[in-house]
Amino acid sequence: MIRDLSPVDLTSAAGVAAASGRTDVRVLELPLGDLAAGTAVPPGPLTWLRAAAPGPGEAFPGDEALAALPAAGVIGMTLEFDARPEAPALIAFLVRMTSLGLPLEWGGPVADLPCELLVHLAPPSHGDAAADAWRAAHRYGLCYWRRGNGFAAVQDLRAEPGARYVIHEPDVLDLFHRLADPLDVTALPAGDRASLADLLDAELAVEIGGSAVRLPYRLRRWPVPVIDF
Amino acid sequence: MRVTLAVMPWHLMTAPNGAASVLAAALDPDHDVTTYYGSISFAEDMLAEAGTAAPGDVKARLLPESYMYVAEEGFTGGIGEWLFTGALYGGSGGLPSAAARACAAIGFDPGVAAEIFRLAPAFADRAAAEIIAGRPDVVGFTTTFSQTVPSLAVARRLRALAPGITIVFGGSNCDDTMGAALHRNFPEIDYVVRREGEAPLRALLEALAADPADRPGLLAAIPGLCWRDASGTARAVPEGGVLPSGADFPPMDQDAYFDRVENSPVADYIQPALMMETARGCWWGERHHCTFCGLSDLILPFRSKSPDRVVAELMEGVGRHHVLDVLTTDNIVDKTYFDTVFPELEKSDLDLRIMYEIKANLTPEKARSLRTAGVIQVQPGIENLHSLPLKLMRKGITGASNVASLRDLQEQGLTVLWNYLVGFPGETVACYEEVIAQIPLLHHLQPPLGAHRIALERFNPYFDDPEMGFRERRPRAWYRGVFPHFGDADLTDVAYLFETPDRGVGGTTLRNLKAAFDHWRDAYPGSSLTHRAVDGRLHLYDRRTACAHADHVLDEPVEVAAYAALSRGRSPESLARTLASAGWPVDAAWSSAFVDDLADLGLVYRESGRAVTLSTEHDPTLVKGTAIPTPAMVGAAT
Repeated sequence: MIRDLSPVDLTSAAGVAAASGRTDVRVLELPLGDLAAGTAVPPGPLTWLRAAAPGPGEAFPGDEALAALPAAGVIGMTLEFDARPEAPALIAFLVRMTSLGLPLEWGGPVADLPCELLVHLAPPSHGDAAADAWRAAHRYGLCYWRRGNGFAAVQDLRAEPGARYVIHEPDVLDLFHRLADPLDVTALPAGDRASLADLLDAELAVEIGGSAVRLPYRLRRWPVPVIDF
Repeated sequence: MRVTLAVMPWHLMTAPNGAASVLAAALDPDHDVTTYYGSISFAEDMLAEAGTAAPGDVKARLLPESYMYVAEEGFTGGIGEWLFTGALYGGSGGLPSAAARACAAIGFDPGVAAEIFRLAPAFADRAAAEIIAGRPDVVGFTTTFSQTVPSLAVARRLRALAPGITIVFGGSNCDDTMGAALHRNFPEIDYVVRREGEAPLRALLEALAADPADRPGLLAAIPGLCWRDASGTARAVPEGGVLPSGADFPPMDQDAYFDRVENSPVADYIQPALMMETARGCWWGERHHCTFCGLSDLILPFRSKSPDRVVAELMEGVGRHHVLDVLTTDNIVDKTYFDTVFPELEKSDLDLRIMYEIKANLTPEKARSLRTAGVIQVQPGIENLHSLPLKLMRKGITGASNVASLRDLQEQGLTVLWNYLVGFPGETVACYEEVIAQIPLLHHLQPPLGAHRIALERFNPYFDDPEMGFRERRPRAWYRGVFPHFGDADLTDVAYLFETPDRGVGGTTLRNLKAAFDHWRDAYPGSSLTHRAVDGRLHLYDRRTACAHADHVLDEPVEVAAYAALSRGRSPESLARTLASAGWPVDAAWSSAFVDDLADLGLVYRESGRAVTLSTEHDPTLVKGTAIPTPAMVGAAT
């Protein structure tokens, strides 16, 4: 017998939460600090994560921990916090999540952030007027990079007329990769300072409160179809 | 010798020209080779003209996207050739009305076409002047798709201005009788090189450098060569020389293209890609030439480069030109690459975007191998979803199997470029009605680009053997317009595309098919049918727009096993045998009832007695229904 079940909305936290009593979907609470420290999502049902932002002194999860989520059945995440995390760390997390491509719900006041530089990242679902503007301007693929052998190719269409860059100078490329996590710029050697200036100038990185982070995300999934017929 | 390879419109300027890139490498270092990209120059002329246009003026649309439209869509109607007839033949008239009608038929504004027609002569003048300034001994024109008339227009000017230059034509439009007909009818063409050009072109250059007394003997020994003897009589050496093996293919020299495009204003509108050649011929066609396929038997033998070479050349090209997009010239990918090249590319962790033509019989593992290697766009030669037309085509595949391939490619998020072909002698209306009825079940898989009646092309089995059903044929009408001085026999010899009376199903069926595909295209972005295994049960999530949203679950292990077995198209009997050999105590009656239950829920595609499942592994990271913005999309004024 093939059993019928009431269709569950798999695209939102509320949808998954509403499907109580199902063995194939669940909401799971997992603080991001724990995920960063090595706690894994136990594989099983399709899972919506309610993820509390890391506390002071705790790190956001990195590439490896996040990459393991889809295979474990995670279909979306809600980022929860009372006090908004520090901007560079939050931006770095948004860059990783946009690259991963999992639906992300989060929100709050963002007017103090350089939102016009962040429109390519997973937008807040609620908040102030700046949050609304971010959500309205967001599109998939507005600012991304791709890995080459010895270079990174960046495509930036956040603003007209748009720009394409190839980062191939070893020093700049090295810094570009180190900026995947917030980098304390106050003690940077002169060479890195110069490279950082180039990246800031091109708006491929942003510096907030003495910490810099890169902005394009690594494009992992091309849309289907990749050509707009 | 100083050799200029001329790549004229309507070469698709998004990548280096394959022929020129191979020949430049083949002639180096014995000869001094330059490549003239007339395609890019003409697109620049068009763009410059667009820049002078007042708002609302049709000239404002002479943008690279118009160039690309002619290059990509204009071939079968001869649009690209029509647009250069003024440049070739002169005269004061504007765009011929037949050409305007052909443009309108493909949705190309005849007003824009008229502007291109007007620009072409001055462009041809400058192209000739620029080529002559390089002081070549020999100029070679490559002719594929719609490059013949543009090439002739420039060749005519070269002959008038610099009669000492030797003019050679080659490329796909010169194969077989086509090249000989061009040679006979255009005195400005000194030589035609036919088929794969490296060896004959090298031999020709040696003959040209040899003692004039020895020359005729040398020329007469070059397979496929069209030449003129001392009395001016056109001669054609029979084709059929030894084909180069994969180890003989030179690596493509793409420097000329990337140097040319780097500072071109046209570069803002296109995303230049690398061109790779990893194989020639077709390993399927060698044994069973698909009946509609216009690849000549002479070049069908399949030859491929070694996996090590492919990976090395790809890496070298990527690193040298800083480009991650790769087009391939192959007619079909080498099967062995799934175990060799693709795993190496996965290990490289580069964000490549590679386009390949593949045989449609995939497995989920092969589809995954493609994606992790960066082959994210494929042309799998699907053509039809019903086994009878597929058998008439000699595709060696079933309708159910094609649906399974669409499913496996969708699961990996690969872009599938495919067409639906119609019009085979022996097909029935039922072949199409059975498919149309089930298309709503396929809305979550990628729709075809279009439905087309098959075209009779030179070299396809239908062309070679009129008894297969297309006895009456004549060259498409535009060849007469584009070669007005050809006699009937020469017109037949020069043509690649032919008109025939329709065979197979009628216009109504084709219209119904197209309508079903229109709905499919609208429904695709919002449709999905996915599954997830949890604790041994299989959960299904039906979100296809044509079905009411529904969730289902298969509780029993035997049902889960049967569903898995149906991922390949099977009859109920085959399903029962498969399950029985795995230890499940079921018979054909149970299998039949199970398949019927699945069919009632729209969960299988059924055709020619086989059923195949349709769901893909649930993947929330798949991106559908949106396009990556490109500079052209963001910056275009219209």
